[in-house]
Amino acid sequence: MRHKTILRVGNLSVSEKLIGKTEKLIRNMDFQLEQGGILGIIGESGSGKEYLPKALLGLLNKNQYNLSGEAIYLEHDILSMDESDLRKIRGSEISYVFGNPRSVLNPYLTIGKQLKELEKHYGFEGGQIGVDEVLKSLGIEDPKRIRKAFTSQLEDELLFRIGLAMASICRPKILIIEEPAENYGGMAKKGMLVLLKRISIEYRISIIVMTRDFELARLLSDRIIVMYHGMVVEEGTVNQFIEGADHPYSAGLVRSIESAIEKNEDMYALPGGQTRFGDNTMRCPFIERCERRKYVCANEMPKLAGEGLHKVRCFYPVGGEGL
Amino acid sequence: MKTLIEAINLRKEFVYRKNLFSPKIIAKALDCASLEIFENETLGLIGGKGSGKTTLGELIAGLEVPDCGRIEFRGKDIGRLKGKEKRKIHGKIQIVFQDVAQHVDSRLTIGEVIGESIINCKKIQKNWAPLEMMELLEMVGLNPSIAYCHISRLDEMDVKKVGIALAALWRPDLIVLDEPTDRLDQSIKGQVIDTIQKIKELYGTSYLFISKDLNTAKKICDRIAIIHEGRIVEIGQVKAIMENPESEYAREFLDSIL
Repeated sequence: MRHKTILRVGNLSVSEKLIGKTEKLIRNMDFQLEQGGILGIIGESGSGKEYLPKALLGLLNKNQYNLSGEAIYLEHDILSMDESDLRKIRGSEISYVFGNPRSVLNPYLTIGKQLKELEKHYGFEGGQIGVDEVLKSLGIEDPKRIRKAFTSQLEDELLFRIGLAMASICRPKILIIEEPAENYGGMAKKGMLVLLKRISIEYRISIIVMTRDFELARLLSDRIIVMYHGMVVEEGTVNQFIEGADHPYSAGLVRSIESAIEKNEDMYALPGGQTRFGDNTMRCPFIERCERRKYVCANEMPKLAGEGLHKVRCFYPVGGEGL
Repeated sequence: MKTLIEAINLRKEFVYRKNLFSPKIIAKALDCASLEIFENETLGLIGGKGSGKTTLGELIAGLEVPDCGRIEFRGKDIGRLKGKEKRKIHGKIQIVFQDVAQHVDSRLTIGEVIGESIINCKKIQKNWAPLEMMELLEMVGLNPSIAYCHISRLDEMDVKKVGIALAALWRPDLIVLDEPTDRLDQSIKGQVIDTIQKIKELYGTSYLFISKDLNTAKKICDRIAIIHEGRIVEIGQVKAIMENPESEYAREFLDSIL
């Protein structure tokens, strides 16, 4: 059975206006999110993935950033909405959990006060007791203590759970989560994975997870998008990635993870580091670190092509043979 | 195998107040932790958040003084040394911090920071420093052109490599690596690991490899110690620990690995 599409992003581009030039952050991004599905967006730091939720929720200043394309949520285009319409959607329909909760929560107010503020705006069912129940179901053991505490007195992981509670308390349809378990050790990471899976099933929320951790995205999501320099370079289901990624970047990523788990193998690493791409639209974004590059790659931008759900942006995809 | 460093029954407590009038709170960071590092060996120190692994690393590097217990470097108690001898031994034990960027002067360029260290370490004249620096940067796999950059302009992997270069130029006997692959993309973690291995082959340094990530640790470590709530709960060869861990916590920890 095919699920209903809840969010369809088409040809989304984001660019930042700087003095004398514009810098492109996201280029021609297309994807669909199905109801109840979990979509993983993978990209290293600097790949532009963090601008996607800000663009969708209208958090980017129109004077500084140029947006183009469309993002259709239940037959409405979010990108062309005005502020009063957006306010109805933000938080109650589409919610965003920031990766660094310490910088989002107000350090001067107690957590209880900030929760009360939410209550004033959205008015949940069940009032304070209902909020406590949600907090408890998200693994926060004593809400009474949490309500009295300031952000500086709590741990990072707990704060992230509070951020998650604040975002999911209004039962949004779409939850966008940034770096869910970036710096936690093994056990905390596993707990977070189980929690997110449970939320998506219990509350019937579609989730977009943005992370740089391929392992986490693989275990959590059912479809994966790999981004590089603001472009989608590969898209497919999780099984397709495990069987063999086609783009040299994602293939390298998968291999580096496999080599880390494998016992008798040296750790594989992609050559080179982060490179600045600039505004060159005439060549492949990955060319400087690619081992399979040929003459064509330097003169033409490959298109995102493929059959069905699996799409690759490469002239010489890796195929089944591996790197 | 010769013992390089031995930590015996280390204890460390931090005392703080919540606010000016509240009673003192004692937080136990380390509670009777003992370990041994042999020459030319990599010991992995694995533990979750707040288990005291960074504190143990800082004690061994000589940045903090233990409340109780002692640290012996080649049979000499580090805590009792004074003056010139103390300085000499601390040059032999270097630490690479988790946040390298916070421990480097952000007003200077990388070239100035490394050059200053080279002049201090090797007691050479100023005009010889650039030559040594190029060699060093090449060894850790950095592009020499970053010598003109400030630390804020570099990406995360280059910052980590600068930290490793700053420690390696002293040719130390032991380097304490505090989460060297933390916050890095999986695809480039291997590059940092390669750099670490290369320095070990060249100089025969020992490492104390502090990490949360067991997959990376078991790639480069000879032995692994698992730390929990300030105690070393398990220590031994990588293979032995992976196959049959003895303590309850270690078993739980290994199960949780994805």
